[in-house]
Amino acid sequence: MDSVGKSFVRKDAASKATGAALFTADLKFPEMLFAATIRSPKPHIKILGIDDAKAREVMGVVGIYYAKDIPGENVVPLVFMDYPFLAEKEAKFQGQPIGLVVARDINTARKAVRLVKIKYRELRTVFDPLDAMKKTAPKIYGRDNIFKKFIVKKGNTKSAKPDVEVEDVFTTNYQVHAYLETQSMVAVPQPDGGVNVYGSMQCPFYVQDAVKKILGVPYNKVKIVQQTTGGAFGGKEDVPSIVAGHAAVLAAKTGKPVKLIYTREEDFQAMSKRHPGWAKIKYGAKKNGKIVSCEVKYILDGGAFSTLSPIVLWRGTVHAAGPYEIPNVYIETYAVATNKVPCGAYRGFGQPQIAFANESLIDILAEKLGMNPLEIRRINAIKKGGRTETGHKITGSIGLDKTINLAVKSAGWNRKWKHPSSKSGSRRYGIGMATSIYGVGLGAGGKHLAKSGSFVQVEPDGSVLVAVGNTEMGQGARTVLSQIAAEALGAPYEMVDLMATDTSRVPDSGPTVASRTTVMSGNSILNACKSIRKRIDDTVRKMLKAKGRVIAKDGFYHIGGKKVSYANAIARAWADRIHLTAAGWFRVEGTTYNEKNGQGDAYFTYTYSTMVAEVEVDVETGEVSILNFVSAHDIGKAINPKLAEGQIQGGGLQGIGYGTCENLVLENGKILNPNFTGYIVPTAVDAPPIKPIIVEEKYKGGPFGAKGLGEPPLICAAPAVANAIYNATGKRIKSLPIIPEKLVC
Amino acid sequence: MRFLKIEKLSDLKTVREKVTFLAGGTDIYPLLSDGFLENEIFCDISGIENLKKISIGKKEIKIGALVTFSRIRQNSVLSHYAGALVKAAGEVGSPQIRNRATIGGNVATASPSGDSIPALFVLKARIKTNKRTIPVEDFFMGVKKTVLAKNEIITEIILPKNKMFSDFVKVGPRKALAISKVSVALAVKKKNNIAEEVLIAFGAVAPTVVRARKAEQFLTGKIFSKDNISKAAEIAKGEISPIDDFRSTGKYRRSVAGVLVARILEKAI
Ligand SMILES: Cc1cc2nc3c(=O)[nH]c(=O)nc-3n(C[C@H](O)[C@H](O)[C@H](O)COP(=O)(O)OP(=O)(O)OC[C@H]3O[C@@H](n4cnc5c(N)ncnc54)[C@H](O)[C@@H]3O)c2cc1C
Repeated sequence: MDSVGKSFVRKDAASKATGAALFTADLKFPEMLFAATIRSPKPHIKILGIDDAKAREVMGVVGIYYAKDIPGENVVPLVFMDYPFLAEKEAKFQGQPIGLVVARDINTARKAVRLVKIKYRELRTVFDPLDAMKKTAPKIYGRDNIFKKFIVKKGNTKSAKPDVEVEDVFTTNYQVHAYLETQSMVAVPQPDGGVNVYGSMQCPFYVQDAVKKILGVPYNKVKIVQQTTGGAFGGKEDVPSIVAGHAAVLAAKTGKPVKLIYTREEDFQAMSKRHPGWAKIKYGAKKNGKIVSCEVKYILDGGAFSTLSPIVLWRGTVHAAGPYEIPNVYIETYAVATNKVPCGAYRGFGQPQIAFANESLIDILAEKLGMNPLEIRRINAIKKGGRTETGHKITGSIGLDKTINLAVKSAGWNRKWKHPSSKSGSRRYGIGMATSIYGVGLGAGGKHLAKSGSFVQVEPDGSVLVAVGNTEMGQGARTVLSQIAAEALGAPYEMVDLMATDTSRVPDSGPTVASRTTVMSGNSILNACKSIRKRIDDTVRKMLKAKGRVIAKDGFYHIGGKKVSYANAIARAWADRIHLTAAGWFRVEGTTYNEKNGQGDAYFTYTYSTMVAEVEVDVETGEVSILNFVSAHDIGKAINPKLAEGQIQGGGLQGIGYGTCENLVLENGKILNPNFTGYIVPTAVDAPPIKPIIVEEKYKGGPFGAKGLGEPPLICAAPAVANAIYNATGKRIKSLPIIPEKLVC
Repeated sequence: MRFLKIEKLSDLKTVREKVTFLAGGTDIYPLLSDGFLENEIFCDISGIENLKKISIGKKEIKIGALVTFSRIRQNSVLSHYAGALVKAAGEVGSPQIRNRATIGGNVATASPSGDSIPALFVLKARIKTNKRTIPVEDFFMGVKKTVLAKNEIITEIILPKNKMFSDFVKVGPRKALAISKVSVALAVKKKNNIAEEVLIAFGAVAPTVVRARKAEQFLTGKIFSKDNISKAAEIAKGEISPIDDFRSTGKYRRSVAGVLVARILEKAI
């Protein structure tokens, strides 16, 4: 292949490296105004009144707006409709938006916000999801504070008859996306009553829904254009809808372009996070190591509004038993409301929390059975023909065993693994591993979104314009999708490029999440290119005066021994007025998953991963250094191996941060460390060498065999580190992050 | 918010209103972006060349207030006479921060976790201002509080030119850009492995940097044995009562303080 499987330089590398790329903060429009948000000062209040007289007096303030000023509906359109764009009578978390100030410059807007006095009465609060599930808890959502409950029942755990059982409770803290660019939007009113919104986002169609809703205008009057986006990781999936909605209302009210950019502190305070998790989990096994039963109770702390919690929970639910074939499984999961910042999507989507639980517990089980952690995984790892916890029979593209073998070989596991009891001294070496199964795409949890549009246009000079509904947010979609289009058309990669995602160019293609873009937009592009290629091929046959299959290779179209260059063929097609433009569409048919018992095909295919961490723990200070990290993934096919390796390394480091240092601290619903001085993410000096290993067990339904890779590199990184820390110290820490304070005291 | 700039120290006399000095700005800019200091008048002193010198005299070493941590870290003479300070300088922030952050700013900010300060304590530094010279131990009044009067400017840090062994260690939440959870500086004068003089100072465990005087006394006149070292570490740890905050816990800080004292003393053997 000419384009697929090659490590081309990213299309956006030069513009990002030189600073030429345009982020939302760089955008300027004539007469543009600036906005800032008035937020709830406490975690649960009844709003009695608002005194904004002082704020209105500040020179440069143009207006202050509240819920009553919203022309359309005051609800962020997501899974459930419980989150208002602006609080009306009650605010349920500290930082919830209540009003908006718009002013001539940003400092004035922010200063005015500080002068607004909200009069309120504090209401009863609940911060712990386990408390929130009690009858006596104050009600934040519905009658029981439960956003969603799922069950998975396979076989019968009661009749499993294990020889050995292990059970424990594991908890995980928030994780903050820590994207470089905070939430940013500019809304520009249009003369016909519509609005164009430019901003930092993952899912332009969610933003379009939100803007349509808050303004009460038809879809065709709302155009959303994604700007270069400075990181997302799930944090720009649903919450940009709020920011865009706010900017759009202000643009509609003032008739002027309005820019709304969050400070780092308010971004921390009010934007989504990875849910804190609580999991009680039990494995039962035979003496020979075969796991025969798994029971899980898994609770996610959703915060004050449901946002994406139901579907985040769903992914965690269908993967809660781990990447093992277990005949008897019972899983019960809950997403629960508390008076804290609403949690949402974050790379891994409900899986890292539960992966920490099952991958820690399987090591505990191995120890109890007197087995090596590698051995127990080899015995139980799901294999071809095996069934997942939801009963999905895996018939192809399954490389879990391969990832295990390659990862342990690269790390030298057999040589290095020694029982913790053999370790001594103040600095101790340890090695640990973890594995995961990851359903690619949205699966049954989001099947209504499993569609993707594209638009491909071959220009007279052979350059190619591609538009899709998924976004580039640093992961490399622009490059990888260009490679797919180039390969399918027979065009040189350099001549193909993706345009910025724009809702007026392609129809609703679902969100850019769940590692779905390469597969979904990739297939949609293939679909569009196929019809264009048919027309090109006809031209080629005419030019070469030959019949039969046209093969594209090295910039030429070949039939038998004859060939014509790509450029000449395209020029001829244009001269003949052939239509070299097509719209592509791809959808995935419904899976067989049944929500009643959690059985059926949850996803169309899975990515499999194994990670090995080597650590040195200073047992006197509790400091952990990661010496080496190996991360192996079966991704079907690497369209661009360098970019795939980049995903693996970036996700690995993010998972290591989640496991060891990223620690958001809340006191009574208030975040105490809402910035990068207090919230510690790994720096370049903390990053260990991360060795990526790519396994390619081709997936028939994927473009050139590809599956997804966005999320898996993070998922089991933290448990691999936790297991290595245990191996070094003999201390089993059951809560993330494993900060030194937990190891020493 | 207003900005003035002075190029010579003597120009300070012409400044009437109360100002906040701006040196490297690494403490000031984060505060500015948080909306604090809105009504402040800043006086940019970063152009005063006189305050950028390191001079090594016969008896004293003088470090200008505007000397950056990058320069302290790279100064080979300083590493002979002020090992603890050189080491601490290398532990500040990141290369970018060290290129801007000044020693005067670090002292004036008076953070309990300011990394140069424990080193200055054990090196018996004096803080020279445009008005007076103050022993470092009398300079700090509490968290972010110093004895500096209105528009009093630090001009240099004066160190006695002693050839003592001195060192600094810190534990932070990561390997760079890390605010100390606990730090320790040590200076020792030894004769035949007997301690003639020992100074130990802790950072980040109290509102200001504090000395571990009991541990110092215990070690003075004793041999540097493993046993004495671990006793001294135990004593030192008992002299502090650090607090819990979102960065760490009092218990952890105290425990690690003992570990660091033992480790730093072992290096002095
Ligand atoms: C990302 C980051 C990481 C950091 N990491 C560390 C760290 O690891 N360790 C550490 O100790 N610090 C750290 N700091 C804090 C800071 O860099 C230091 O305190 C630095 O030494 C301050 O010096 P400056 O020249 O930048 O001070 P400025 O910000 O210019 O001033 C700080 C204060 O001192 C006053 N001031 C400055 N110079 C004088 C003077 N000559 N006389 C009187 N008053 C004066 C100013 O008015 C102001 O109140 C970090 C800061 C940042 C932003």
